[in-house]
Amino acid sequence: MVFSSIPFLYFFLPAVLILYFAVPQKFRNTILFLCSLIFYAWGEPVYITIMLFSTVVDYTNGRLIAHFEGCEWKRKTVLVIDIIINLGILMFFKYSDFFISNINSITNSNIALLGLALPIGVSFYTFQTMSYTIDVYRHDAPVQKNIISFGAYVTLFPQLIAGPIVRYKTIAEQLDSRRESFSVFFDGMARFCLGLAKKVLIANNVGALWDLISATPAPELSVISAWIGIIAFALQIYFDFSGYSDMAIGLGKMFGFTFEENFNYPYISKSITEFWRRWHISLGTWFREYVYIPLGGNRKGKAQTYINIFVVWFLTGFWHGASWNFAIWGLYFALILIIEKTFLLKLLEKLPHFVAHIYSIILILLGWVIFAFDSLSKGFAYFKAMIGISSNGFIDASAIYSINSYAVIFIIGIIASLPLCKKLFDKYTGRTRYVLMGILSLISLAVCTIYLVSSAYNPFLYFRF
Amino acid sequence: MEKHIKKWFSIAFCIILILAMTVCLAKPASSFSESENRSLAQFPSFSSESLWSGEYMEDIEAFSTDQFPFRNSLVALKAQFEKMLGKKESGGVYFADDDYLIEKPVSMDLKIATANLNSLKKLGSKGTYNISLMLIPTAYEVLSDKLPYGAYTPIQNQVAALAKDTLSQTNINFINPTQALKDNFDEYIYFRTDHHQTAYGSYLSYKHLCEQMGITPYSENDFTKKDLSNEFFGTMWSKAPLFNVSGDTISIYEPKFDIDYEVKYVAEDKTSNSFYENSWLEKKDKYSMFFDGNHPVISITSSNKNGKKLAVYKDSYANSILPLLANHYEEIHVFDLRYYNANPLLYLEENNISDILVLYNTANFITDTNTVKLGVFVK
Repeated sequence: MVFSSIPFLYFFLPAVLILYFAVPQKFRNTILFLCSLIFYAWGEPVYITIMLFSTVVDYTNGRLIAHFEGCEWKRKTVLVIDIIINLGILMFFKYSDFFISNINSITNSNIALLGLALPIGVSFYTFQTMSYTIDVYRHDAPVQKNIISFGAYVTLFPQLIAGPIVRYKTIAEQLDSRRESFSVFFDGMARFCLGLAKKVLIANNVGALWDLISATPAPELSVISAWIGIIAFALQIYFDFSGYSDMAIGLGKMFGFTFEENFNYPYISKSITEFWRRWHISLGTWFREYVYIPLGGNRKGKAQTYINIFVVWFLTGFWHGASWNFAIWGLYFALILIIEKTFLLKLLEKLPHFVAHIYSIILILLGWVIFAFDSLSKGFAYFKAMIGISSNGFIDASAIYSINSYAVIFIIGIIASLPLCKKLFDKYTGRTRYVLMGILSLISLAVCTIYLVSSAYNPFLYFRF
Repeated sequence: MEKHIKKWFSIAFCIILILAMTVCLAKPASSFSESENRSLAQFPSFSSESLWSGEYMEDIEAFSTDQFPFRNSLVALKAQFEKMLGKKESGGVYFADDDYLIEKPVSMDLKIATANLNSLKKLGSKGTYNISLMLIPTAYEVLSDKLPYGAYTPIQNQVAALAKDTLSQTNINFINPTQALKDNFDEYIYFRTDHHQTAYGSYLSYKHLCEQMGITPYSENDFTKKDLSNEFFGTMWSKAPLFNVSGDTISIYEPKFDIDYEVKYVAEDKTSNSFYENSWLEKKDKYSMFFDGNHPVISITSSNKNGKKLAVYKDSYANSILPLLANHYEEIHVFDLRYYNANPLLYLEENNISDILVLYNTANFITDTNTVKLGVFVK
């Protein structure tokens, strides 16, 4: 089930809210666990078994690590086994066909593809459950003895299918003792409605334009069309993904959880280094804490640091999908990050701000070209259209049509990517602020409902992850 | 104070969700949507099979959007909202000049059109039949000047060129009324809210068709034009139901000369002496008044005993043309290949018919996969 759908908003959510708040505190995790399982089973009932398997395996391993306290090799063995199982699930369901088809093309063999459906959110929850065992192993979090509480963490529906990736230690305490209140609920509701509006009103709208432009063979696009297209994609992926994170954070708040932030106006970055501190923060943090730093981070000399950056960004890219373009997308950023580290960052700081902004946004957009096309040759053809090497002129009728039709939404999207509205809104305090927030939230809910009821167009980008 | 504000908004939010859920589940489910011309999803019955396959959940999703309270009004609000946002289209329909709602091409791919033409060519190569193909362009092509800037592509011209090219070495007569219709650009030849041609547009198509088939068409003065309804809101309006649009006018041409017809709906075993079923004028789908909608086979017999017979394979564009064409034939047998699954050639043999007219609107010809049935039975 996706949040931006009528059955979620008007069947699932009210039902969960009623059940959750009707039962006493001590049964609330049970309700969350059961409801999350239903939520997960909604799309792929069969894969609920993986979810239960994950819960039991990671719970047991956590207990074992705690049990073997004092015996380092046993603790380590359990940890390694746990990581192998989790990565195994991820590899098997997400990457096996990718590896098979690569082996096939290299060795000219003909191994049959498995054709497995990707379990929804597998990339997110395997990372979460790994964070649990590692945190317990490192004594960063206490072992969870209650399997229901643990199950609630693994399956928690707000962030189950598209993040943020909630590291166990950040909510360990909240799992067993959290306080729901109208005040937090209100904040959660406002955050949820904001996310819903981002997804339904902006992401879906500009997404329709990107679908149209990306379906056109690149040489038939004019330069302007190609740029409009990739900007539409940049807006779509940001509002889709950050909207989803907002909804997750908002839902979490309704149930008394506080999740860490996942986006912080990434498009205002003045360097790529800054961009990655603002984009998908929970994934970056995960890789930093569980891969980059264990590899030695930047403490083992320049050469090792660069190798570490390449490894982490290759994995980050590859995490986004089982296709070469994602890996290359990651390496592309690794290269830029290293260049920035060696000298560019210092230079950028000296230059006027707008130069740094333009530098960053262009590199980000080029990154999206790599990201958006499964096939590298298509991405390259699109790039050629953008710089006018192989395009249908500089501007054509369909570009003008897109501008006419989407100008308002583009302007709204671009303004909403800046901290401008938030700053304006922060001027209001006290009563006015909350009345305004409440009214805007309910209006957003109403307008999104209008869109969701009327349009069959509600594809969800992050299901591939 | 702030606490109270937060509390009451939270409660309001929950009440809205719960209320919508209750109304959706408790109100009697509507079974049919006139504006979309389809049955609405009902609450699914449970089975463990449908649960495990996920079908049960899909059905509930369909139910929730189909039966949402005030659904029609919400859909209308969306179209209005899109137009306010400066969008030039909504739900696959362009907001064109002069309040025209014009359908966006569904496909730019000529694969199906090619298959259809090849199938026809195959039928023609049999040599037994006298075949004409008329592709009538839609408002998208004929009224292209009214489209939002940049929305037009010459896709329908490409189909016409492909047809001309494919059929050039055959004895199949390709009839293209595009220019004849474009010459009357300023007239009311297409409905503003529907994808069909108006009475006058149909008359122009009929006239061009006759001229190309070597028949002398009747002049418009040989008929009395009768307006039956000016409250017609058609398929385009269903897709983009804007508020401030006025209805279209449905008219028919009644001959001033003496002629009778017998219309036989073969599959339904029903007979009528009129092409029109006026009860449809009370409903939303008023265009269905022509021949009571679409049927697998209709045979029309006229009192014009000239011995001429014609088979027509067509889509709904023909429905408003056939009443005019019927004056020139003793028998016309009309097939809608979407619903007719028997061997269409066998029928021709049995009824001793050798003249064939294939009539589609160009937009439909690009996507319709039933026309190939014509070639399938050719050995």
